[in-house]
Amino acid sequence: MSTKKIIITDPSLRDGSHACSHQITEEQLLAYAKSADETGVDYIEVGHGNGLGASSLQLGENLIEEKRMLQLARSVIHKSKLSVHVMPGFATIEREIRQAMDIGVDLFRVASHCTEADITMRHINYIRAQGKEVWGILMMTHLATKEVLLEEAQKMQSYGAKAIVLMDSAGAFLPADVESKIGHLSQHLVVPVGFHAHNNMGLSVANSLTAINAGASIVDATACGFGAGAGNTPIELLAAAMFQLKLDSNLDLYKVLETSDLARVLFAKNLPFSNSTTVVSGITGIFSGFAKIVERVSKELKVDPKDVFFELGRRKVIGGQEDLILEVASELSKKNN
Amino acid sequence: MPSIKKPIDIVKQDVLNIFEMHSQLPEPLRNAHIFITGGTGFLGSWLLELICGLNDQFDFKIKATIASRSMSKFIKSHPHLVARKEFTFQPNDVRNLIELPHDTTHIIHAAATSSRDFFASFPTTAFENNVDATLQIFRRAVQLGSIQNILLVSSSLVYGKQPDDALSIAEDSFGGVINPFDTNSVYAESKRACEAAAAAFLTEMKLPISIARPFSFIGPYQSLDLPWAITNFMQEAFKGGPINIMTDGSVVRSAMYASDFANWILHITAYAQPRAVYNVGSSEPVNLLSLAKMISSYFKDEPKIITSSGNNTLGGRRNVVPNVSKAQKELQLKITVNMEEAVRRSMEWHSTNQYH
Amino acid sequence: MQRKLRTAIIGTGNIGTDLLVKITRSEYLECVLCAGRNLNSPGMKKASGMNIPVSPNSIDAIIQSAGDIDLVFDATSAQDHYTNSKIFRELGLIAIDLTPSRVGKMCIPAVNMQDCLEEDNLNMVTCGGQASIPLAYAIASVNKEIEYIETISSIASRSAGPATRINLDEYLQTTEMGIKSFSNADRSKAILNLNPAVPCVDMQTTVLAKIANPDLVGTKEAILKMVAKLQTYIPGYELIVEPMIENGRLAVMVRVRGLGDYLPSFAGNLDIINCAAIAAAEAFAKKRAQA
Repeated sequence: MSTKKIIITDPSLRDGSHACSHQITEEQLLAYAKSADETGVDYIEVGHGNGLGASSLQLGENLIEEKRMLQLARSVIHKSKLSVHVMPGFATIEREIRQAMDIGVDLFRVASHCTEADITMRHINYIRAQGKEVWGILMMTHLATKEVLLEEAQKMQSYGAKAIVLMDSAGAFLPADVESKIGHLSQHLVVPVGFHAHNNMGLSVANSLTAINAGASIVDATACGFGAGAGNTPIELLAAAMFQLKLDSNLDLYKVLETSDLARVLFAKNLPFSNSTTVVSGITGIFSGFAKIVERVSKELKVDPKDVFFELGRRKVIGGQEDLILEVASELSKKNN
Repeated sequence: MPSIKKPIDIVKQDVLNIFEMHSQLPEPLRNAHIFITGGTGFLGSWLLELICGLNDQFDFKIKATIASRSMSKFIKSHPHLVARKEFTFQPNDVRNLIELPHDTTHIIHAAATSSRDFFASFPTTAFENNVDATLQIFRRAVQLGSIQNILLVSSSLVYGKQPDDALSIAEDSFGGVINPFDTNSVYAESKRACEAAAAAFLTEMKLPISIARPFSFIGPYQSLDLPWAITNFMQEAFKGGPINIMTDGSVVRSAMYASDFANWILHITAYAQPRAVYNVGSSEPVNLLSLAKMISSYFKDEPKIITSSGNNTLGGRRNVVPNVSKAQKELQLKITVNMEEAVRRSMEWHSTNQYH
Repeated sequence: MQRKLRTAIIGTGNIGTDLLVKITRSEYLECVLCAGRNLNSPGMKKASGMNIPVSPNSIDAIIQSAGDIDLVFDATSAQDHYTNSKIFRELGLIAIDLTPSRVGKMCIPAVNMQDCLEEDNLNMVTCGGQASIPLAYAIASVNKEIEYIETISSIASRSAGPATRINLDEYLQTTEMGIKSFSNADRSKAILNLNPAVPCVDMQTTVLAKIANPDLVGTKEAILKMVAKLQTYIPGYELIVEPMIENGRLAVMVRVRGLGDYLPSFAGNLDIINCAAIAAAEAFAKKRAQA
């Protein structure tokens, strides 16, 4: 394995927002951010599950207003850098990006569906011109070949992204997929490559290590996997494995373990776990952020959430199309009656 | 000499054979509407023959619209294809088309100015024809709602020079950079530009484009006037010889039979994923001396073969044999007619067609 | 018989070309000029083929023929429309603006056509606006206080050209402004998704609203009436989820399939704004016929 230092990004307070239907409280936010700031994690990402400007009826509204969330995080994060997720189509430069800059966000991770990188051009350009750090994020990357991913990543690189992260947003990757896609990008991109896993098939840690092995130098991991669907790569497990493998990072293993113990208490009611829904979600390749909404709507309309996932998979829905859950479930419920 | 047949019977038999030998049919083309440019050329005629076969024998219900600049010739040479109801012919340069048929599901863009003598004398026109037509086709295709695949028929020349010891050329065997000031490079460069255009439309317009890179071919409907080794040999043989080989005969080529060529193109059109590139040709190597012998042995009075001790490297194209394992593996394509049989059938057709 | 309203198109890209096909089908409109920049573009060639006068001199061609034109469809860009709009006004031409410039009054034919007939510049908002604002207006007509309203549109990736992609922020801002002002909601939000699925997806638009005590029966009635009205000029507009309350939010969902005139039929997003523009121009034609 490589000897380079691995950058660790902790999006517990962003991806974890999905796990509690965006109901993270001020107390939880402050307590977790303070503790995570001591772990040596390089970046702490905060916000709505789908990033800036995504608090909505479509996806679920934030309990704490976005501005307040970022201000609170900023007030306690000193050692790590503060990061946000930005999806054009939800967030605009004028409104959300400016505000986040004013609050003092350090890193903007501008994301698009894996085949649509050109919608990030203006946002990446703008952030770079303002002298802020900006990365490009490709989501739902199980849906594109490594050649397409490289093309889209190269677009983002040409806009000025300083790193490219592939997200396995549906938890659909097997280790061989990680090796082929991350390997291909690492070989051909100038900027560092990162990987963001979901645990639908129990492979998040294995996939993250495979990514490092294939050339990734950035890995996303959250406390106890606090994230959408079956959750992300648990940072305490990743840190332990990296410790054993003597992989270099800024993480302090003890602090990471303590912070995860804290998270286990803080987010006790909403910690992700595997069940039939998350498994079906993974194999049908649906965005992990859909899980809670599918469960809720299926219950209300008395349909099997597994059927909903299979139908959504057939329609090839992507992150942001959560309204289709309602349509699919009402169709199914009509058929059942 | 074989019994006297009509040339069309040879073609009909080839069409029957190809579906028999090839267990798999291009199923996604059922009910397709294929727009074919260059549809009246060598490849185009064979595509139409195979489409007729699929429709008649397997009820495929394929419709095709064929754009061609040489309709008047085609009406004389292929009246049986012109009469078919499922074909619409547009006697028009593709660049003048404002819209493609709205229900087009597949495009096979095979129109190209490819004759070497034309390129040597009129490189500006040739370059413009190839690149402009390709850009226009892609632009028009952006408006198509049901398009499933656009196959760009490119060329094996895009690979450039190959090392003399390279035995075959695979899809990633890009050799030396082509010198744009070489007289012969304008065709290759025009095809490279077409492929670059394909990449641009793939990434910006999300058009589903795939690419075929054909090598060398032989068979009925091929004009013997083309200045290629194989066509030269046949023409010289029909004229009584001698067959002139410009080298010592050790230069290696291959040639795929026409029905295999068209069948591969249809399968790639049906099954290729966007961005996929496939070599199309025969992987059976044959040196030019053996090829000349195959041709001469067809005659009772075998024409003489003359070799020369000229340049055997041919500008970095000593061995031009495709590696086609990608198409064979991914699309289960097979070569059903070997070199010897391909020569035999071609000679038979040419001798009955008085084409020589 | 009254003569048809004489219209011109400036900007002969995909939108302008599709408009041309729709104009030639109209009983009330005729196209007297297609002005653009590139005579070799497919749009120009199509217009020439239909015997419509064409010019590569763009706005200058409009100025030259102003006496023979009643109304101009501007399908250029927001940047160009800022300059063009002033010239149209000086020339006394009615302008129907298909760019996201927001110069003129926002026009949703099924909602405020009557209020627009005295204007000389109408802005057709956005595709998402033409699909969602009538629903928002119908919801507001029966439910008084709307605390918050939101619209989500998903369109086929292939239907979003380079201009749409680069102007996502403007799309969101304009749509939000439109949905808010036509529904009198306190707050609004617009979301746009580009879906690359093959075969291409149809445009789908959802409106979600937070209302204290929603009148579901009344809302349903108002929505059905509105959809019927929209279908008179947008044939591909279809209600797919009737108003329902789910998780404390009122939801209604439509699908828009394009006519496939020039643009592909999955591009319902582009078709709907053209259908609306034609409906607006026809309203001017009918008004003049009555005068």
